[in-house]
Amino acid sequence: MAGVSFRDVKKNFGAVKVIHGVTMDVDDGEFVVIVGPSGCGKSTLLRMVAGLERISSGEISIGDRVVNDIEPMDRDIAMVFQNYALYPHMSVRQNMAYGLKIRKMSTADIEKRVHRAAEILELGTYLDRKPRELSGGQRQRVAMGRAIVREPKVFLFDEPLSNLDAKLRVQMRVELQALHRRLGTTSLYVTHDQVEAMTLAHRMIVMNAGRAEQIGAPIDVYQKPATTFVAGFIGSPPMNLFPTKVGGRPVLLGVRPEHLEPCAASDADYTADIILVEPLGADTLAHGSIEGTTMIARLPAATHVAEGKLPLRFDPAHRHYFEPDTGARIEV
Amino acid sequence: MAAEKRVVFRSAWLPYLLVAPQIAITVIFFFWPAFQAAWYSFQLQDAFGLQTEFVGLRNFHELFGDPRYLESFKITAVFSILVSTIGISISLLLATMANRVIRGAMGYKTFLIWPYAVASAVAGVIFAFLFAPSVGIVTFALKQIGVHWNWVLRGDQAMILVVVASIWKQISYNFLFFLAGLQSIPKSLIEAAAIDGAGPIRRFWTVVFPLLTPTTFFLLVINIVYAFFDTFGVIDATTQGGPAGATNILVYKVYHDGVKSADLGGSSAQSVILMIIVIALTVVQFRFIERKVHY
Repeated sequence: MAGVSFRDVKKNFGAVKVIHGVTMDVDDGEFVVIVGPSGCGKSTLLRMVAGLERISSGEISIGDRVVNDIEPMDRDIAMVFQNYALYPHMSVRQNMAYGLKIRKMSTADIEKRVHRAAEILELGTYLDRKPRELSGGQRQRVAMGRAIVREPKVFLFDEPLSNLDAKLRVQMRVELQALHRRLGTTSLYVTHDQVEAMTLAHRMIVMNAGRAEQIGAPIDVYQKPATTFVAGFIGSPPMNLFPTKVGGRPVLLGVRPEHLEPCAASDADYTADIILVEPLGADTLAHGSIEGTTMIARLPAATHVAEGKLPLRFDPAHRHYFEPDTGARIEV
Repeated sequence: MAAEKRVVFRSAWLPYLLVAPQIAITVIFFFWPAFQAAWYSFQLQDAFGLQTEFVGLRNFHELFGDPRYLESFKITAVFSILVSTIGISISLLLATMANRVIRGAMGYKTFLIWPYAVASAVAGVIFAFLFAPSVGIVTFALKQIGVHWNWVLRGDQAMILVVVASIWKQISYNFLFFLAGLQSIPKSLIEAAAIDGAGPIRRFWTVVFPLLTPTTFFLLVINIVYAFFDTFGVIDATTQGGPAGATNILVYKVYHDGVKSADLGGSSAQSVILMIIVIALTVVQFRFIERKVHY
């Protein structure tokens, strides 16, 4: 096994710069999630690790080896694609065995590995079926099986769960975690879903417009977002941002929806105009605005709120401040 | 199962009226002549068309006893196998290349599709000129490398000429279908195979080509039918079945025997056999495509 390191990796398509220089070290056995909105360059970054896109400048290494000019097949990686990319004319067994056969592994060894993967992924009874005879979740498993049998140094996942329905996605997310715990293979995982990023990642890279805005453990990113972009992207509903002044200096004050508490009018930091209340069962979302800035408060389910004026207290322990121009975090 | 889509007409006669022109065309231009051919094939006419005699299966009997007819069958088989296999191979190669081109792709594709707009007879004339024994530019080029080209005298060269002209005419059609087939293969499949360790050639034979099987099979049937029937124009504009019957394929023999030699009964019997062949090919195609080749 091996880690992956990025040294000022850049990518441009002609004159269009899509990745502006990413530097990071993924440790051996680590599960790193690259998360960001569509078009932020996260898939491109992953495809550069796979060798499916050329690296315009900088270096990517897998283990101790710089892989910039190494063919995908020689990088010792396996990739799971968003659309699974299963070979439609091959059975599940053949799909998994394809890469091993090319590597001239003995039939007995191939059979052993395929069976082990099938056992881990509970695919045993489907080995002789064609992909079209499988459900979405099963195809997803076959795609993972194809990656597992190769026993690569690094797993690459390109939005592997986004074609599944919500329920199956949650289930596969849990299975992925279990799988990683069992195999311990270094994994890079691209997603636009911040819940997947929060739950799966040891560390995450939050990308925006070709830049890594923040790299860190999910809980650190959540508790100390480095920029207003990260504050808005990680966490749902997103962090509220209010323009205000601290010591005469204009700043953006950030408070997460769960850190707004209804209180007596005399204790209130601000009074919100609530225009919509959404009871979700576990909690209640109150949508409205404070001094013209839209906001959302996440309140305990038992709280009774109505549309209209709502005095709110901002939890002093969970206030974030950002530079209004650059969006960068500042400590006040 | 997809829900059945059905248009509901309020009037009872309107749907019949709407399909009537199509039915009329099919009946007048297909069923009627087909029926007539079948009917004539059991008859014998004198050269002036004054007398007609019902002879049962005698026309068929005579055909299969006629070495020239059997020779024509053999020639047709060779011709159609050459036209379809070589034509399909070249088209697949061209489509694979065109599919890789990024810059100027539209230009390449347009040029490759152009020959389809040329009528068979015109294609025949073009190639007859190019390969003309005395003035042809290809003939001249061949002479430079020591090949004596004269298809007017040599049967094998005449065959090459009509095969080349027929392939050229059909390449565009095959190319279009292969290109569409190639473009419907998801890029990620190729990438997955690349990561699995397959080089370009292995990727083609283990992933791309198997996925093109339905297209290839469809084109095989279409090309055989094309070689059997639609190459009439090419042959008529170049060799006219010669020299000494070396390119006298079945459909040309039907025309020659019926129109030039006025053997209506024998010619009709031949076209009945051709009809049976094309029906068989169509049945095979539908059966196979419906059952086997489906992902």
